[in-house]
Amino acid sequence: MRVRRRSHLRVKNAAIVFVGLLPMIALGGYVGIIGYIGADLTSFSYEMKVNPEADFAPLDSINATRLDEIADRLEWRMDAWHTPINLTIGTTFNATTGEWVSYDNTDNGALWTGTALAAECMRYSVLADGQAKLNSSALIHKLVSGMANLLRIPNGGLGPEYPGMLARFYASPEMRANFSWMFNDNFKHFNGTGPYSQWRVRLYTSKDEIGGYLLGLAAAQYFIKDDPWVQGILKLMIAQLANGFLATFYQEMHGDGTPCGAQLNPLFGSGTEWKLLVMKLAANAFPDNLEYQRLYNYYAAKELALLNANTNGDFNTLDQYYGYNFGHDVVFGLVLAENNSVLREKYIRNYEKCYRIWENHRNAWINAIYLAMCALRPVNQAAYNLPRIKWDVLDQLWWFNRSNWVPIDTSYGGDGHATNRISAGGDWVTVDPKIAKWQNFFYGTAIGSWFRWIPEQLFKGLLTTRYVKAARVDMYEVTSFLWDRNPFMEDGLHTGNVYGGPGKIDEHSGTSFTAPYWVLRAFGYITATEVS
Amino acid sequence: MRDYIEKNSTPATVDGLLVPDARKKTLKYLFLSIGLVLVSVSVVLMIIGVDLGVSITVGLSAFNLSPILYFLVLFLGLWLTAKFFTIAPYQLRENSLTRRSVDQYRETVDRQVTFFSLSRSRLAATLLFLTIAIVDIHFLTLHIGTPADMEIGGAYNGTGTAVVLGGVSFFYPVGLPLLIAGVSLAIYLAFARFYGRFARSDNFLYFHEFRIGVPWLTEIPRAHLEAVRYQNTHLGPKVLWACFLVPYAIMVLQYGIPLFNQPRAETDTLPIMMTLSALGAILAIIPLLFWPQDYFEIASKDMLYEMWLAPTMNMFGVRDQIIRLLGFSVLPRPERKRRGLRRTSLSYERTPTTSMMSGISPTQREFTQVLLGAILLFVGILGAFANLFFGMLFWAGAATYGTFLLARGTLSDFSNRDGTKVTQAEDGAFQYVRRFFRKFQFVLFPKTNNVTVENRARKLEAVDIIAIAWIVALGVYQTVLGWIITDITIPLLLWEAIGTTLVLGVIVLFVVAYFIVPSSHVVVKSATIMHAIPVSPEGTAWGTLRHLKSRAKNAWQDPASRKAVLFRVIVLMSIGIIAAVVAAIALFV
Repeated sequence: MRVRRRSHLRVKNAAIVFVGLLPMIALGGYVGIIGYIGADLTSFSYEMKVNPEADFAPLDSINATRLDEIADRLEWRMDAWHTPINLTIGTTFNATTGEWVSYDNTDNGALWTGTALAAECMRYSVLADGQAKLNSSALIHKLVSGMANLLRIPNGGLGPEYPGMLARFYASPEMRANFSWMFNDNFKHFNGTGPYSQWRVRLYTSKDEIGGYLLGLAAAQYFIKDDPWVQGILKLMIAQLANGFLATFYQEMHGDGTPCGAQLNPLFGSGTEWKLLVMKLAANAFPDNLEYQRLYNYYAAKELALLNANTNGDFNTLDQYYGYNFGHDVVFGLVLAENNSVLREKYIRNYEKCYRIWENHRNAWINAIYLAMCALRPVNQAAYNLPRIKWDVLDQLWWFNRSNWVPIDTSYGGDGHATNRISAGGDWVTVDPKIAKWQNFFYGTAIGSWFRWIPEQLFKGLLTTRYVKAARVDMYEVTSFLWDRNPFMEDGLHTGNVYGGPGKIDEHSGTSFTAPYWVLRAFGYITATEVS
Repeated sequence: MRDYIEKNSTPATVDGLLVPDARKKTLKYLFLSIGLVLVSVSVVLMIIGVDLGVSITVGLSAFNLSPILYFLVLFLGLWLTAKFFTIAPYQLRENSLTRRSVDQYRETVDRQVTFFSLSRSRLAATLLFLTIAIVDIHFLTLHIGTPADMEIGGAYNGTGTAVVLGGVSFFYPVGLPLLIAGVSLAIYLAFARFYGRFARSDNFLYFHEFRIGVPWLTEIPRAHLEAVRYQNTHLGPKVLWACFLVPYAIMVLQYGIPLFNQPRAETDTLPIMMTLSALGAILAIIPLLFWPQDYFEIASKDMLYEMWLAPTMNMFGVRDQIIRLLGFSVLPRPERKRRGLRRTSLSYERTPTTSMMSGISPTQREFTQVLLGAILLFVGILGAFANLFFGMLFWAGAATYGTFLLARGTLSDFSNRDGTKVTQAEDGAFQYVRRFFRKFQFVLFPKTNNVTVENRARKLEAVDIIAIAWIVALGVYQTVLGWIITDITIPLLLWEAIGTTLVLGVIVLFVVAYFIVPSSHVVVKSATIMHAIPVSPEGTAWGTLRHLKSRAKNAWQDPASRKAVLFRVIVLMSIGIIAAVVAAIALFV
């Protein structure tokens, strides 16, 4: 029997509520400690400010014409060597003869092709009519075709009447010799559907892929308005993707007909920009289909997506940094797709509130996206110093030239040739001391053992060495896209893992350079001849 | 303890039992001392971080059990410390450990009832939860990771991955919540079941509970009784079941239903299990919310005694006896009619001094709460499954509160035909009896100062205040935000905005009709208690929706009602206005 003094009812009721809430309070305390650890570990990235005067090349030493030449050369090599099946991919050459040897494996065909398409669309938008523009148009057609196949092959066709499963990569039977890995047994590999049943698709598609893919669609929709073929096929792709997501409640499906875990619904309130972008692309592509616009409004206003769309946290600074890259693809895509100036400004303002996370990362792609957003504002009201950010991007791009890293392969910069931090010395080798502190907490205390699963299983990079100063381009490893790597972990001490082994040169598409470069060009920050 | 017994107590000796007792005081301080020592030891051990060297491996990580032991010691210490505040300082026994024997009682009992209490509705829900969870484990597995991973939970069996890429099997978001609910409920059931012996003597009521083998006795001096309420319509904290089960079921269905007939799927195991789990949760709402256990409260001048019970065998007979023991002059059990049908009217132990109160309908019909619940549930379902009118935060709250209102309305707003009896005896004793099929609610005031029938605003429970504020704030917020971004030149979008506004208006209207505009109550006042019971006034058996305008007008003319109505209207409008302003600003900051 519960016996209470009536004069103490309020106090006892409050005590009962408190006791009832104890499990939630305990859980909240536990999560709070995790948040505190994260905040403490990320604090270094705010403390070591970028120092342009000390670290950047003087602006007048950066040659705009040379940057333009590099961009053109990389686009040419993209067309010639990195799009064999209309998806971007790394390529291996014989180090002695320079002859083509093989194409690399990839898990991110959709992501990097989408990014490359976005870069090419921006290039297309600034080129004057002529052969260069025709070449650009041809490359866009190739990339759009490849991206369309990522929907067509797994689903048996292209258009809204087909399911919306998106592949990471594909290969036809005829391509088996060059892409034999696609025909190996792997839980991600399945046959295509219908007329493509002999083709192979790589599934278990992640949000990385979807993010890059959506950026490609958004960029093509925004920049290539004068090409009916592109707009026509885009409509089919967007309708198939949007209807597919609507049919599965925004769950990406795996090849066995079950969800693979990637889904676009906001998790704990964050990530609302994904559904918004999908539906905005559909509303733009089908202005007469009011249901798309209605759903977009519903997500924006009723699910309150517009309040925190394009926001982010700083945990990825510690682990899974690549999440920032494809996250920014969606952020950028949404700002491009949104044609309502009030909503666009809201999304930019949301983003700007988080930009301090990346302010000292020296990430040229993220910085370029922020510059692009600010250029889309009717009035310059940036909360950050845009000329300094532009200088940051240009300095990083210029390092491609200074380190002779064009094309982006293992013969010039990168593996075995990158500048390592030890030789650079000074503050380049300062490691965040808080890592050791928390290492001791996790492994040196009894209470820490209750949090040990976080570095062991959840964020495996949590206790990895992080330098307090963000890396320069010449310290990065050769990779598909430099800007999805953690700039505080790049140490320049790369071991030279090259596809094909010794005697080979591994070359990646030049999107690491072209994506940020063409943003600066497309949004008027630089020209082919002027950087200031 | 034997020397405490004083047979045939008189009121004077009853009062003497409330004099502070030295031994009880010593006991209280003993608990306090031991409790504080344990609390201090645990805190010191935690701060120093002493490692007892005991660990357990879960998944791939080892967890040191030392902190858990410290926490257990801490909670034990806190529990003992709390005893200092809960042990009665006088001889009268309140939850005192005693022997089982009736000899323990101070006086010879003249009436007693023994029973076994085990909630069958909770048991049904427990079995349902556990069965579904076990089936979920079997079909969805405990797998964690990508299909290539084997380390945790065994091999992937082709039933999908949830939450994130390479995340967990669908058992974790779908079956695990039900498993936790089932296990928690099973543990609760084990502790809540008890053998009970309630008894009455000349001067005392005795409540003897035998829980997990330990007998606890509480004595209540009958002379101190001021009010008694016995019912099986009280929900109390059961609203938490709605808070868990309704959003859970809706979200699982949201994710699960689209997975049927996926082009590449070889089986529908996953969507079937998701649908089954959601339906199981919905089914469990029925016993958990619509079949609450019996609950009684006894109030004296200083104390409040409460108990949940669920007699399992001879339920009606036990209830009869408890009701008599508590002093009601009514037989709650419907008398058997031919072929097992039950007669719905009540039998009374009529006394010549008892008279029925006038102005109160003997048939209670109040549809407003049930209708509001249905509307909220329907709007919630529309939002969740058709993306219509309101978004997630609103629909989750609306569907949850709507379900709760449906349950509470069904339990408390209706009676059988002639099933409500409000009586007052010449000696001032007041009795309220309402019966609706197997549901009953009895209220007894042995002595009253004043009993009236008057219009007053309904009492708001904490859940009402929170839910209404939540629904109105989010409803207004989303509606205003919707209007701001809507291109009103597009008819479909315009109609959606208008529709949202109208739906919100209807909801607010019902809230006003039920919770703000005064309605008929029997107001009973005793020496220290004022208790208002909602009733249907005579001749208006269809609830507060009818004559809303005239009732509002009457309330406005009555100064006392006007003040209460104004306060609630102002609070409601303030919530709406603040939400609207915040929504308008939100887009531009």
